[in-house]
Amino acid sequence: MISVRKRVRNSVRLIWPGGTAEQVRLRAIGKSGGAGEVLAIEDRPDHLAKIYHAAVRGPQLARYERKIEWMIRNKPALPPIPPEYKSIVQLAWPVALVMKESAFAGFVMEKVDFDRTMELDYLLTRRQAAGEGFEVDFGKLVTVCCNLASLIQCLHSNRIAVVDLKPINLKVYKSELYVSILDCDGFHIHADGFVSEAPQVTPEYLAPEFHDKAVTHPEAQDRFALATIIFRLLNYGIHPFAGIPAGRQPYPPELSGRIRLGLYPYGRLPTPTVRATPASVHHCFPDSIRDLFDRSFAPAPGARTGAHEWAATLSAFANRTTEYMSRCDNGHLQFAGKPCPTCVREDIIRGHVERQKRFMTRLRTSPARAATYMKRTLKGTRTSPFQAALAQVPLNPLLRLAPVTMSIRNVLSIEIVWAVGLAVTYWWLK
Amino acid sequence: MQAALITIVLALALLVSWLWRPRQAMRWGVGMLLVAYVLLGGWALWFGLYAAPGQEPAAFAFWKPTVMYWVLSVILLTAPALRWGYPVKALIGTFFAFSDREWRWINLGFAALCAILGGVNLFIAFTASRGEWEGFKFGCLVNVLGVLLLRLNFVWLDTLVRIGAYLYGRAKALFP
Repeated sequence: MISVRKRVRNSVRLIWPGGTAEQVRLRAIGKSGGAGEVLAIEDRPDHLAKIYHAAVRGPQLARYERKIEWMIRNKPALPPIPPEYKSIVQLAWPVALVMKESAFAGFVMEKVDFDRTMELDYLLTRRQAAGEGFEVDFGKLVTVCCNLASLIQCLHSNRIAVVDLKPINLKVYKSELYVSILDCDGFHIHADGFVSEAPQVTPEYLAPEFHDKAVTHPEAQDRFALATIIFRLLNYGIHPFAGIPAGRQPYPPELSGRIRLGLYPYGRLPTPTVRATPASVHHCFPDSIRDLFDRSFAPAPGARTGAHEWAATLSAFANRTTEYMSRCDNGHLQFAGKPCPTCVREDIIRGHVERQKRFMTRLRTSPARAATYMKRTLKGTRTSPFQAALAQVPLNPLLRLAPVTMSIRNVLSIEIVWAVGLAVTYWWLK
Repeated sequence: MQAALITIVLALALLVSWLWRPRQAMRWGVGMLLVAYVLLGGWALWFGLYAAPGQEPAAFAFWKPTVMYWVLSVILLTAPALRWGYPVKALIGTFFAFSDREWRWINLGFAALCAILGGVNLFIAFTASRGEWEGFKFGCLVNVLGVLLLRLNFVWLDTLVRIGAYLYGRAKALFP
């Protein structure tokens, strides 16, 4: 009985462009977001449906309906994909309406193949990427950055902005290195005759001018978020506003506070108030890329690097024929004429591991060393010439220490009695 | 309940102390101190934990520090006179290598200090206000704290280091 009711509830009608209707059943796949739930469509393995939560209703649901209808009619032209790369979905763009009992309930989108893709977030940590079967090198990273910038450029040329652009909303095709953007129904659209806001933002990727207020220039926001993502991809996940305070000015503990104050320490000109994280390899980036970062994180939002500039610059590095990238002695891909970032990073990690190992060894041997130190102090047999000389001179001729001859148990026995005596004295004097 | 617990802990501590005691002859001077402390401790245990409040004579409260000081002073003065050693060695600890002459002067100094403090206590108790007397009493506790810090620095810390080294040696033998 329950299964029949569930089946009826999950039966919906799809309205395709041109008005073709189709009755289908939806199946839960356990994926749910802030606005709605993503479900599989029976007999349509290449598509998914997003059904808005019951809490989304009235004017809000109507706004979504208008937006989805516009999006279905106006799919932007995307960066061309070579024909040998099949079924790559760069945008989870709405392709049909989902109607429940003749009322708008959600939309159908093309399915991003989760087996062929991984979250872009994984690329920020090499170990996580390796766990997904993806060996990261700087050539692949530059290509991913270039493809992401090209995709954003296409959206911007259609007056569409992502606004809440962040790694968790992005997927990367592991073999083809193309990028997919999820949650397209949250985009900001400002096309002729249609405007749709995007109120969702993430503080760590939010441009300084939009903290504590609405995003009034979505494209400028996307430029900032894009530069932040590219910086993190190329710099082992280090956020461009993660640094070490160097001055006496207050240093906000959270990234959003540092973004607001513009505390970017990786510029070509050093900042007096903040230093770069020691694990950073930003000095291994070519000057052209560093200039783009400097402009993106500078206080003036008008000078911020556009997606088209990123795409143009990075495509030159991603293209093998330009020879802008070379291999270091260890076989790593690096930016030509600059130190190898992989080797630099490995050196940093190796140094850190060695320091940690030395510290652990010192920690392990410290009780024995403390005992030896005490014994030598008591016996006056220090090996260090300075300490031996010091031990020869009685610091106070009145105060000479007697050698300990009693066992620990004997000493403890006396001290117990002494402590009880002290307690008795305290009671009588208090 | 609390009284019983404190008594049990005290008894166990003293039992451990007895089992681990150094097997060597004790100087009579130290023995005198022990006897005195058993009596004073017994009084403290009885009136502090077991007797009903108010059982201890109220006027005796003013005399208590003096009794303590003068008992100590008498023992410190009597023991050397009877050639029973210097009880101050037990109070400070034998971690310091002093000559007998030095120990005699230290012992005498302690005895004089205790005698004076006992007298000053009575003087203040019967001439000044109760608040001033209590202030003097707590000021005198600083002396006890001084002796405690001396012991802590020169005896207990060293013992702790030795215990640490011993335990580390055992652990190293068990888990090479």
